Amino acid sequence: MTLITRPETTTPTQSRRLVAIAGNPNSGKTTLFNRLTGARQKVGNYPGVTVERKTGMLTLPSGAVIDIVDLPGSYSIAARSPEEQISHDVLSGFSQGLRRPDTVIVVLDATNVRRNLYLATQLRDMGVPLVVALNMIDLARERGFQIDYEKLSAAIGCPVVPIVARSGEGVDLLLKKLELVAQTRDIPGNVPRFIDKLPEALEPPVQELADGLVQSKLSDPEHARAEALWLLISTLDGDEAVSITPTKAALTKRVLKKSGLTTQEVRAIETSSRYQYLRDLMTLSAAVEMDLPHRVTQIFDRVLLHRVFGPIVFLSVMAIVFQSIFSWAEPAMGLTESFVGWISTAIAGLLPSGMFRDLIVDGAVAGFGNVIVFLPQILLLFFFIGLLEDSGYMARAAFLMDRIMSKVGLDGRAFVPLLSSFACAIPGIMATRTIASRKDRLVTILVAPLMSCSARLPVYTLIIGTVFAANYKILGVFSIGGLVLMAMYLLSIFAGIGIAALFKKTILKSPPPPLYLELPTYKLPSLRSVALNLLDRAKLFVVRAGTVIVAATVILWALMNFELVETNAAPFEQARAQIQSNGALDDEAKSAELAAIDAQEHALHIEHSLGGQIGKFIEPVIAPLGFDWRMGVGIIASFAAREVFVSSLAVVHGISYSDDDDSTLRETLQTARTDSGVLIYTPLVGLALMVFFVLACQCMSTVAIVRRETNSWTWPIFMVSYMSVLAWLGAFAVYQGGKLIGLS
Amino acid sequence: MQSKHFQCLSCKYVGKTSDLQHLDCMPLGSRCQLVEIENPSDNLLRLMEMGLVPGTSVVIERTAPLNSPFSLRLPGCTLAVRREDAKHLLVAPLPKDSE
Repeated sequence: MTLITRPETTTPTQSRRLVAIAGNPNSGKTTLFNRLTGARQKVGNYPGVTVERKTGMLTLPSGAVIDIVDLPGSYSIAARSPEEQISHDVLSGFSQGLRRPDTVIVVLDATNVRRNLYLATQLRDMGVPLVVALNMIDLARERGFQIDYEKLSAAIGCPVVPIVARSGEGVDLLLKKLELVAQTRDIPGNVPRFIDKLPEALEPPVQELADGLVQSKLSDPEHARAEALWLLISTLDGDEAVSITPTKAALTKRVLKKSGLTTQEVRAIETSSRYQYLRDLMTLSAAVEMDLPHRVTQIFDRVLLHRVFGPIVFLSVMAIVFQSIFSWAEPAMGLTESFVGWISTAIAGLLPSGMFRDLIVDGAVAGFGNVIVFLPQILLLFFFIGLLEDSGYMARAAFLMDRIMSKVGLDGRAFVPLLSSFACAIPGIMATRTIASRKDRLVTILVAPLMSCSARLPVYTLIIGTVFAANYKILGVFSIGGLVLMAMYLLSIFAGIGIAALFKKTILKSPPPPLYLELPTYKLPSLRSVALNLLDRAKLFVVRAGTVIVAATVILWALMNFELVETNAAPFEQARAQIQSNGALDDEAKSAELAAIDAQEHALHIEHSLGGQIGKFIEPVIAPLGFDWRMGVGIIASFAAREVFVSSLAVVHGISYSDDDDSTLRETLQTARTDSGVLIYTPLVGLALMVFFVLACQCMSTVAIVRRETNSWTWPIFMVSYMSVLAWLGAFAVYQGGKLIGLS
Repeated sequence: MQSKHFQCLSCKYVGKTSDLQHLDCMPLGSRCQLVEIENPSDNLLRLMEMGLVPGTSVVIERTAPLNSPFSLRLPGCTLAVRREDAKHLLVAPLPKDSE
């Protein structure tokens, strides 16, 4: 597998210097990271949490090679959840698998220096050597911003370099300064740090806690005050609490209690007074702050956030995104399928026929096909998401959708992932990363597979075509088929909303998603960043989720191919011999009859297979839903992908089946009867079966991606369980309820 | 120097100073100065860190189609603030600037 990046080139090692990049969201932090590292980067997770950790390598002008880690974008070092704790932990050397960084590059958005300096001065308080990169200086100057870099640099005691990360302007100078900082540490700066001159209300608790930390050897004297302030402003209680040692937590709570202040109060005081401090810092640096609003942004927002046109534009954009993953991905998916078909044929030609060849071709290669078939949809969705994020429109989408989504208890940013899930839940679940709160993100991930994805369509089509007079018109315009289909989509939406609300109130109980959203100025998206991100997504999916999908395909293959009961081949051989020797048939008729015999034999093999036996074994469980063992086999097989249900039904019913035409299958199903002669596929059974497919998690690839995104098996297992129970209850209610009111 | 007295129509705010009112009671398009944040919630504390601190001047640009959230233009950035949060912001109206 050459796809996996060689770890020795990108994993931070002990010997090399480590530089961290910090900054506000939208400060251009990631653009700078990409410019510095190019494709030499690796994406992983921070231990224990689902926050992405990007690391990369960089060669300095002197020829020295250093490691770089991209910290999550944030406005403050204060932590309200384990996710937000990461920056603090990395910078204090508490993060597993990372050394304490030797230097930190703080990226400031020059169009809003004061606000961006908030984080920078917090980092300065922590005592890490800083290099300040004043990004987007070109845009800021255009809008009237001026600052004396030398004065600012002297005031805070670290280099200040104006750069334009997008074009690379100033980056060389930044790297030179980066080397210098390593050699000349500890320039104090001629303005005392905030932590050294705290407001009256904060001084006693911070000093007391700092003393306590030093006494208990939990911090060295140099960093104790900053650590104390961080502990006082970080949430140590509640279920999203920051994870710190019990001794530290106990000390902090004691100090808080004694001072009579709450965490919130300490934070409010810190924020107000730090902004006061920043005001002085700006004056000292002779800063002329920008007072011109961004013209282009104002003009665009007049339309894009307009009460009427705003939602119209938004829905049109969403329609394009949806259309692209729903149908534009189709040709590319066809290509990947023929590619896999070509590989299968090639491999099949090389190996002797038998169990081993089947395992490779129908298990492993098919599994590989099941993985790459998702790539077109994933790439398309992330291409659009990249454009929307980079341009600044995604924040507007969250702004427009906030009211509606928060009524349901979901984050405004959950809209795009959920909508995408109507095409396919895999890219949808991958897109939930923009949701900040862990619980809200989990709720979104858990309900995403309830959205009726495109893989369910072949199942709906088959069942509707089989059990309903699909073209019968109601009111002249609506066909029964169309109405039933619409009902399934509505069911999926309402089930999603209901389950999301339920989870928000129970297992993932949390307050309504908070809204702290900046509407950044519009920018032309950087294709380079979008492309790099696409590469990351594709790589992550293939490497991480891919292995699980291939393994599951092999297991399903084994289920369908290992026979528990031996199949007696003799009657089929006899029948074949009879046909061959029948002089009344021409060649064409002969091959047709032979194919029919083959299909019957295959059906018997499936019935005797492990999967078939499981289908029979679970028949009592699914019988109350109106299903027989053949549907049970189809349901088990469709774990590979929902549309496999259609071909598996054909196989268990012993008919040869082609993808293009399911009319033979429909006719067979319409006349299929139980041993006691009752029709199996009645409209009511069909309806129950469709409801089952709307609600059930019949997709191992979804399970694999949830495993990858939540970093645990707990949530995927929970998801499959709750959806199976829900599907069973739904189908049960439809079938038994229908029978009660006399339907069949 | 003529201080204009606003009456808060939608809430019964009685403050120390008569010309303070809650941000959500201000007309769209108006400019004001943030004076105080009453009992800041966690969400408001985050907004404070993002620059919504007392002393800042704010232009109430617009609301989203269902009347929430507001988009507030601060010097240097634009923030989205829900109506529930805006009720905690006490502001003093400023004269419209000559943009």
